[in-house]
Parts: sequence; structure tokens; C-alpha cells
Amino acid sequence: MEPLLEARDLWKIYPNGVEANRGVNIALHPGTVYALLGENGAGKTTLVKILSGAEKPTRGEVRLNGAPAPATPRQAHQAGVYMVPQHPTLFPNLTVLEDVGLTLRMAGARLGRAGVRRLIEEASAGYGLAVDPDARVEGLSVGERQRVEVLKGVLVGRKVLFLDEPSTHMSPSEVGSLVALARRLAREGRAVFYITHRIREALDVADKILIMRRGRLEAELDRGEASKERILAAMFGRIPEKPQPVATRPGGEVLRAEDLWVPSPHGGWALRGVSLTVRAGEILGVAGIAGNGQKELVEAIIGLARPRRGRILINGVDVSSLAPRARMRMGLAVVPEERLGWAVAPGLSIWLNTALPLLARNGARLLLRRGRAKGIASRVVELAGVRARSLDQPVETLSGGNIQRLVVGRELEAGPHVVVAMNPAAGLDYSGASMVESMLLKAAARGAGVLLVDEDLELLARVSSRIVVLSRGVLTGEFTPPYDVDAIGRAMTMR
Amino acid sequence: MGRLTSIIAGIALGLMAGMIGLLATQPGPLALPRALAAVLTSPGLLENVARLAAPIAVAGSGLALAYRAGFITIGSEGQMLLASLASLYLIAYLDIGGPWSLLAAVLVGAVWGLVPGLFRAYAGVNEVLSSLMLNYIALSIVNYLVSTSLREGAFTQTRFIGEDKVLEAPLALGIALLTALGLEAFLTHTIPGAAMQAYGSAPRMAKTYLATSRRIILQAALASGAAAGLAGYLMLTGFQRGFTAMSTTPGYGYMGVLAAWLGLRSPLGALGAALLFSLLATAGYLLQPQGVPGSMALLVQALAVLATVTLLSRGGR
Repeated sequence: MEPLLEARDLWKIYPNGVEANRGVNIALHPGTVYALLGENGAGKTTLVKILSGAEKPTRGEVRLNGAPAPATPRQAHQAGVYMVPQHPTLFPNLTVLEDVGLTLRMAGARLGRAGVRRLIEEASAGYGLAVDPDARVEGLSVGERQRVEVLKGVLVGRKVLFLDEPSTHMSPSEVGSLVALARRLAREGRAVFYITHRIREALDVADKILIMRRGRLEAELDRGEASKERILAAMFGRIPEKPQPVATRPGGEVLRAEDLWVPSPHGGWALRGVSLTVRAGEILGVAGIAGNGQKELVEAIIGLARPRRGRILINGVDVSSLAPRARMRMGLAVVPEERLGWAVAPGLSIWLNTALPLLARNGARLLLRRGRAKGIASRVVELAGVRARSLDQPVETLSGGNIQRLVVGRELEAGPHVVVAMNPAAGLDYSGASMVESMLLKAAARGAGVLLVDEDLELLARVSSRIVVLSRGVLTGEFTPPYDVDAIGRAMTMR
Repeated sequence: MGRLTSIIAGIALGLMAGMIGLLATQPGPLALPRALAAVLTSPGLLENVARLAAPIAVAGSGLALAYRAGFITIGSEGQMLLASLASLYLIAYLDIGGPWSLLAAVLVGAVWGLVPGLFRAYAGVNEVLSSLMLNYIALSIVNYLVSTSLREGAFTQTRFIGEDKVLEAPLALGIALLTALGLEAFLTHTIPGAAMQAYGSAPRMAKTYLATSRRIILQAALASGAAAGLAGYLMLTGFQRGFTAMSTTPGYGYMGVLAAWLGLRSPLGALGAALLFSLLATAGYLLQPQGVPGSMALLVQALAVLATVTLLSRGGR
């Protein structure tokens, strides 16, 4: 059978050097539900953006019904290809009717208000998507907005429907009916493409499970042959037989978090009473699926977010009320999740980006001595093996891997007691990732306590002295080597 | 397109638009280059250019700093007004001149400039809006004082400072140059200056490693306010000399905003842009008797800035 949507040898290389898609081949047939699984940073979103016309590939092409695929979302809508975004993007000051009508009109439908209303009511009743056409969007909950988005997908995505993490804002029972809806839409002849990182959901919904890893489609499993074990193996790669945790004997406690409660921007709690300790010389891995409180945990520990309850101690001193810089003076180092914009400031030179945080940490207040700053920067650049033409070049002209070397090198330069790192190797090629890994191991060997929050279980298993699992804002398990990846996987999806 | 090319092209486009506008007038398009040449060759008119440029440059330099820190205030207008009124009070009513009246202006500008900073730092209020509103409040305060306690005689106007108190043009320009150099040095040779630039480009990076948002925003608000205060002093002692009741603000602070953007948010660049603006404005005065509307100079300025910024943004894509 001819595929509906087909992509050959898709490459997407972003200007910062991140290779998000590396030679992806994919063919979507009508009447089939596909589930796309993969870690954060595996390239899922990029792939879907390319397939749905929102981004252009660096190389390769997408064809719809044998013709070049739509190049913009609007053209895609007109061709019956629709993506339901992970976070609803409706106009808050319109009614549901107006918002849906606008989308339909942009997709080429010529309908009056009454026609739109009829369509909404039919789809609403026919597919069990209860929405009130006259409600204003701003008065709806996120879950209700998501339902409106799915409704739009039903109306516009007549041929191919992409659902990007559609269950993010849904309760378990809603997820059940969404899965049923996706299967029904496929039976009616559409290709449905369901992106998720929840393995259970993928197994429930999909005819075919696609697994992405480091920009490539790692595996394609039929419904019958897919199992949690096979999926985990493809998602995270093979766990080495003999993990090599840090050899040094852990020393005294350097970081302690007690009963942290942090509210979520989406309402509710992102962290619900998390407590952990990191001792000198050890790497404590925090495993978990993205969006389960990892970011909030990191922000609370470094001081960018104030927990509602609980406290944080560095070397036994309560730092809960201190600003990040003050915590850094007490020996905290931070390797954030995002490189450009959080770890370094684009537009500023390599030497400023390297020396300024170190000088601020050393208590420099007024004068910025260029000679001294450049000396610091060139030492870090050399030690971390950053490949730069000149210290004066803007930092964003470095590749992603070189920026990360610079950041990790800078953060370890000050001889920290505590290192907090979040997904430090994400998006890096093999050599960059192993460099980061060995730098963290070296820091621990020198006596720092490392808190490594990472979605890459394989990496965690390689370097961590202990692993705790964060799921829905709670620590759901603690593991010691040798690691049982199945048990960790189960804890990751535990409620 | 490079940065310098963008500026030159932007200015050229602005001048061309001005000349096209002149097509509809009696003197014709060549009147503009003729007027510019006349200004450049007359020492008296050049003094005028310098006196006008100094406050615009100083306000623009301070704004350039704030804009680098991502603090997009347009409050220099109101800060200049209140500051120059403060100087006027000291000079013309209390007979305290020289450095004290300058200091008072800087202080008043800084305090008024701090207000939108406080709003942003503690309540998250957008500074574009709050500083604009504060300009209207400043205008009302000045008008109120002009028609009440500072009123002099039958008309709603203040005393005016004497001819002898008017600042020499080279001195005014020297103060502007020193300010621009000082702020430039602050940005490149101090830790808080570099932190401001980092904050402007990547707030999260600066918040994590360098300083709190509040500290950086308040520093930027204070510095730009103090500069606008100094600009107010230069405006008063350069050409304003006193106040009558006004229906709108004089607009030199807004010119500072334009100068900061045309100068690519660099204090020295703002000085250059201010000189250009003053040159254009003075040429505009020369053309007014020939039936060219006074707004022509403003049109050229606005178009030059718009064109430059557009070219630069396209280049940055």
C-alpha cells in the first residue's frame, strides 16, 4: 500500500550545531496509529515539526500522497494534516466557536457561524469530546482547552493527525478515552501519530511503535512484538553489564534538601515533599521522565525558585533564603539544562561568559580586569578542550558540544563542593557526551558531591553512586548498583 | 548587512525621504543638503548644534546602558523635565549655581528614573508603560509648579536663568563626551556593567551566575535616570533657560531614545546619533522661513532610526 506521508533521510541540524534528526526514514499509512517514543532531546518534537510543515529539514524531503509535502502549517491544514500541540494554543479572548471557526477558515473551509457550530456539535457528540461552543477560552481549564485542540485535530486533520504528548494535561480516565478516540480515527482511515514518553500509553494506543534515540529512529515495533523491555532497551540503549560507579568512598554530607514543596506553573505541586542528601565524592543520579519535577528541583536547589516549604543546606548551612550567587560562593556549581540563555549569554564573548561567573563567585564587585579575566578564560578553554578560534568570538559561534565543555569546565574550575547538573550530555555527540561524563566523574573523585538530574538512564547507570527516581514530584525509589533498569523504569512511571 | 552599513544605509534612507518630502515645497529637495552645509560651515550654528546635542547625547547614553540591560525605559523625557526644573529652582530662585544645581538635577533624574525600576523589580510592571505614564505625570507636576509656586508675573511662566548662566557649547559637549566615555567604560570594564549586558541578552544566565534581577534592573533604572537628570541640566543651561506652561513635553528625552537605538545601544553611538539629530534639527530651523515645516527634521530622524533598526533586525535573522 502507498504511504500517505513519507519522509526520506531527514536531517535537522540547528545553527548551534545540535543534530536533532540524523537521517530519519519514516512512512505513515492510513488506518494506522503510530506511537513515537523517546527521551527528551531524542528529536521527537523536531521530527513532528518537520512532518507537519512547521519546520524545514536541513536535508531530506517529506512527501504527502507522493507530492512534496506542505511547507507551512497553514498549507498542511489545508491538506488535512494537523498537529495538536502539547500545550494548547488557543486565543484566550475568543469563544470556542470563534477559535475553532478561525482555524477552519484558515484551513480553507467556507463556513458561517452556524456551519461551524454544527460541525463542533456533531464532532462533539460523535467522538465524545464534550465542549461548549459558546464558552470563552480563557474560562476553560487546561484540560478543557486540550479537548478543544483535539476537536480541531478531528475536524482539520482529516488525513494525518499528529498528537504531541496529548495526555500532558489529562487525567487517567481522559487518557483512556483519548486512546480509544485515536484508534477509532485510524479505523476511519486516518494516519494517527501519537507522541508520548509514557510506555504504557504507547502500548495501549499504537499499531506500530517507533522509538527515537539521539536523532535516529532506533526501532520500529509492531503491536504484537512490542514489550516494555524491548522498548526500554531501544529507548535507553543497552545498560552495561557491570556499571562502574564512582570508586571513591563517599564523605560527609555536602547537600541536603528537606521536604521541598514547589508549586507548578500549571497549578498543583511540581514537587511534593522531596528530601535528598548528597555526600562528598558521590554522584547522586535523579532519574525520571521529563516534566515530573526535575526542573523545579534544580531551580529550588540553585535558588532560582523559592520552595513554599522545606529547606536546603549546603555543607550544613541553611541557604534557603540566599540568592543563587551567594549559594555559589558557598561552593555550589551549576550546569543547567539549556546551554544558550541559561548556561551562557549569547552575544557576549567566550572570555566574558567564562570569566564573569567565576569572578562573581570569587566576590569581585567592581572592576573587570581584562587581562586577568582572559587569563582565567584561556585556562578553562584549554583544560576543557574547547575548540575556539579566539576568546573574543561570541559564545554562540561555538558548537553545542564545545559550549558544554566550556560550561562544565567553568563550573568545575572553582573547585565546587556541590555540582548540580541537569541533562548535561543531552544533544551532544558521543565524544562530547563522554567528555562531560568523565569531567563529572573527575569532580566527584576530587571530593565534590554531584547531583545529576538526567533523563538518560544509561548515563545515570554508568556514573551514579546511587539513583533516586522522581515521578510526579515525589521520590519513588532509591537504587544502588548493580542497577535493575526494569525496576527503575517501573519507579519512573509510578504514581 | 553589517552594523555600520545598516546605520549608514538607514541614515541615507532617512535623508532621502526628507528630500522627497521637500519635493512638494517651494525650496525643493536640494534645500536639505544646502541647509546642512550651511550649518556645518557656520561656527555660530555649530555652537547651536553642540548645545542641542549635549542633552540628547547624555540622555541617550544612559538609555543605551539601560537598553543593554534589557530595561526598555522611555522615561528620560519626564526625568529631564523634573531635573531641569530642579536646576532652575536652585539657579534662578535660590541663586545656587554651578555644581550644586547640576547635582540636584542628577539626583532628581535618578529618583524619578528609579520609580519604573521599582515597579518592574517588585511588581513586574512593564517599564515601557510605566515610564511613559510617569512622563505625563512629570509634565503635570511641571505645569502645576509653573502656574503656582514658581509662577513669575502675569504669565504662567517661571523665572528664566540669565544669559551669563548659559553653558558654553564646548563645555556642554565635553560633559556629553565624558558621560558617554564613562558609561562605555562602565559597560566594558566593570563587573556590574558586564552583568547588565549578560542580563539583557540572557536574563536567566545572569540571574543564576551573576546577580539578582532586582539588583540589575534597579542599577539600570538608576543609571539611566541619573544620566537623564544630567541631560535635564544641560537642556536648561543650554537653551531652555526657563519654563512656560506646556501642552506636551519638549521631546528631547524621546530624541534620546531614538539616539540610543540609532547608536546601537552604545553610549558613544548615542552621542554620534545625537550630533546627527541636532545637525538635522538646526538645518530644519534654517529651512522653516522658506516654508518647510519644522517637523521635517523629526521625520528624517524617525525614518533613519526605523530604517536602521529594520535593516539590523533583518541582518540578525
